[in-house]
Amino acid sequence: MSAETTAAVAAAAGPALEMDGLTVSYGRARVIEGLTLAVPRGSVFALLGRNGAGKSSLLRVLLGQRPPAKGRVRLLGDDPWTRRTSLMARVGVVPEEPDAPPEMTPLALSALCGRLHSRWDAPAVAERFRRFEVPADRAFGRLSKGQKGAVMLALALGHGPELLLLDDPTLGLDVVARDAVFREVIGDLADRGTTAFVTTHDLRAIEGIADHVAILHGGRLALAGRLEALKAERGLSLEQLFASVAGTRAADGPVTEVRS
Amino acid sequence: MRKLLAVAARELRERWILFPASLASGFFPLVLPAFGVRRGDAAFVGVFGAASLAAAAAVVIGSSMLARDAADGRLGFLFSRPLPWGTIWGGKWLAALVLVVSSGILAAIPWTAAFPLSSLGGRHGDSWLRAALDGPGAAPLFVIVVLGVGLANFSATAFRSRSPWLVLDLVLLLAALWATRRYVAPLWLYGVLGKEQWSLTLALLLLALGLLVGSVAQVAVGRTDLRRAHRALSLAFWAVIGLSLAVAAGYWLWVRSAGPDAVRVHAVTRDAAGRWIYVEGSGPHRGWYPHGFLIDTTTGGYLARPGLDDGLERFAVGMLFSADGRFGALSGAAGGGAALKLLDLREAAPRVTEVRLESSPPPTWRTRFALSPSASSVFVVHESGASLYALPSGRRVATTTILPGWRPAAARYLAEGAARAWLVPSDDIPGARRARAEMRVVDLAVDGASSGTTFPLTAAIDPMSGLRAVLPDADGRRILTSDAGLHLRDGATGDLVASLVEGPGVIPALFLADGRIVVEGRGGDGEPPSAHPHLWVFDRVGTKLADFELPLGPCVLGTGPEVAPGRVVVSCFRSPFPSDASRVVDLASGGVVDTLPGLQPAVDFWGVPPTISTGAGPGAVHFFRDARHHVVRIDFATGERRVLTGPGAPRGERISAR
Repeated sequence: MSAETTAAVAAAAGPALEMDGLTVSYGRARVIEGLTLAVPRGSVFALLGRNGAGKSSLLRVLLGQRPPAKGRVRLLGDDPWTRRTSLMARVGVVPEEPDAPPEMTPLALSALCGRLHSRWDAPAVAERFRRFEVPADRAFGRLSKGQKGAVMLALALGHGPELLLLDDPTLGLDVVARDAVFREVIGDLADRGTTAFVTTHDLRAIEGIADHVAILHGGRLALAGRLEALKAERGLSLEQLFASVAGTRAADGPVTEVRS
Repeated sequence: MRKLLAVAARELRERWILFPASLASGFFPLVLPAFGVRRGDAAFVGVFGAASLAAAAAVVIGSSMLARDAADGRLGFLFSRPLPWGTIWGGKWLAALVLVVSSGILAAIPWTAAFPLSSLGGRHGDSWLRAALDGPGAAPLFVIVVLGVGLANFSATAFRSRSPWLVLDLVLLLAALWATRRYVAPLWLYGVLGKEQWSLTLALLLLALGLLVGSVAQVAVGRTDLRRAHRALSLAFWAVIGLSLAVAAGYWLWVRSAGPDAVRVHAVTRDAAGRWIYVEGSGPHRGWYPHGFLIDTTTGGYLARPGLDDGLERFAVGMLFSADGRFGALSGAAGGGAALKLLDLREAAPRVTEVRLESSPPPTWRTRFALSPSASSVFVVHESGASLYALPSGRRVATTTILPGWRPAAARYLAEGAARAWLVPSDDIPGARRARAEMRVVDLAVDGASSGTTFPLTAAIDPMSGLRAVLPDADGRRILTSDAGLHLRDGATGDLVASLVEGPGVIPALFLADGRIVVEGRGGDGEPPSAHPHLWVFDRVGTKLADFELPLGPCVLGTGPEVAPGRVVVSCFRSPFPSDASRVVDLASGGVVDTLPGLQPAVDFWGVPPTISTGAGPGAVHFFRDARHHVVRIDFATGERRVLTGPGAPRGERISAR
């Protein structure tokens, strides 16, 4: 077995996401400090935290859109800052704020993504548009918030990603739309074993699908582990766990909250 | 490439409305003839409209392609795809350039088709395209397009980021403007880079390059974070601009570093004793920057003209020396008025004092300066007034108004506290050039006393030769005027003392130290009296003492300097060739007593009065210039000759002013 193959096997066996002493800062303001976390492959990992906890900033670092101030990040075994281009071929992203060009229709967006990705399943994307009841010939900017989220999810899954990063994907959605989003994620998981890393406030919705959970508070990791084990260990629901951890401020060290 | 084109196509698709809008705007000039506008003017409106539309497109797309998308959180869509930053950057810029260029072209199609260039009498055949390319040229136009898009992107990024870097940008902008004024503008204005289009294109190209490199950094490093993008853009842009300015500054300093050994000297002034000379000339580099050096002829040490804060469009004025040899003064402008750099020459390293002359207008090439014999005051005459300023304070101690229609021709100190100026009719007044055969003399003293007298001339002085047409003697008591001949006049009243020579133009003449006057002799019609030039000698009151025929062929004589009592240098000019040799003529016998091969007297600065000698007779040290523009110092008492300046001359030590 060649060294390359050995490394590839080792990488494949490693976590989908790995953070080691990660610090994210904006100027002098530290948003996340010393975060160490590993997300197993094939898991649904929920990262919970209050507003300003640094979830979106962490997502930007994971996506290679800004470098960490300190520490190490590995996305599917690679550094996202230096290997962003190749990693994005294996990662699907649903941002908190839908960022697709507003003048393009969902079908045109799918066609554009088809030209940007080397592998693109346009019929599957179109099928998801239909399933989500998205008007595929209406400009993206004129869609409702729920429809935009659905389009972004369909586009994120169009190239069959190994890892799906969802940044508060149900924020502002009604119950029906929220359920549709998570159904789709679960369906994709079942089909391909995709790893899902979800940041959310929606504790009730995520409780049904997440198998791992971490809670960020004040820029630090307050709690992490398998969801069922944590619940059993403390005899609390996810909501109660979150309230017990994030309801008070972290004791050790000030971390400035910034709006990014 | 496929991905790059996809990104570009997306950008174009967002702004597709500009294409039909541009085409529609191109029809506007077609309706103008219906309202009485000539076809040529309508075409001009079309050109203006197409250029304006392209500029507007540059601003619109430049300000939105990266900055707006980052601010609106829309860049993440591209950065979360497998797109290298280079593809994102290239796609955005490609779309911007296509949009701007096509906007201009689409806006030009209708009217260029309707108004063929041949029908408007154009000089480029019937092709508007060829006219555009022959005119400003395709490369400069492309640079301007890049510049427009880049500047819009920079501004939008800076203002949208609302980061403290904006303050730094503004500070660096001011610093860059200062450095440009100080280091780049002189290169251009003095013709070192040439004033041709290419040098301007080069400057714009560097600016465009800075903006391009900045936007590369903005995308590669800043990515979706607008503040980080702004910082990266700023750093990269200012690095390019700073490097360019540093290169320009280095080049300018190198140009200015030429010493007296490298310049071709054009003009020389000297102090009374002949220790110090001030020379100006052109350097070995391209352009016409006037290198100026104060040279200590005893040591060869030199001081480069102090200060760079004088006006860029500086004119050569030479250095004034006080008769006692203790001070030199360079005139110039500062703070919106006239100023002097006063040099104390008593030490080996001159001390320079900047003197602003109180309530004085900025000097022009017509302003006349004279330094008092001991440099206790300076006399400044301009077109609206004459003033005496105390030195080194610069305080105005006396002033008098000069009536409109006059300009100064010469100025002299009569004594330490009294000065005199001679005025000729200003050639700025239409119709006054030839009509006014008159001059005016103005006296001013430090106690405020002033007087003025207008006197008639035989004929109006030719304004083109006005600077040389009035020659006062050393103490200002007598003047020679070239007004249809050479006339000796009383310096205070202008009264005619004697007519020395008849004939047009400026007639060379020289006041000797003992008061006699040496003139190039001419016949009644202004021509030389024979095939050989004559030298006429007059006494103090214009009585002819001698007429010498010189052993020279037909030529125009130059007279002076007086190198020993009664001995003058005579140069013979046959236009356009310079004199091949100067001769020393003994005025007692009329014979040539010495020949100076290849030398001619060093030319002084126009309008700078010769320094008044304090000795009993003429000094023995004089300065000449050879055909290679060396300045040669000759001591006629000892016969010593020394080359002081010019290509290949020995270079003395550079003196630092104190």
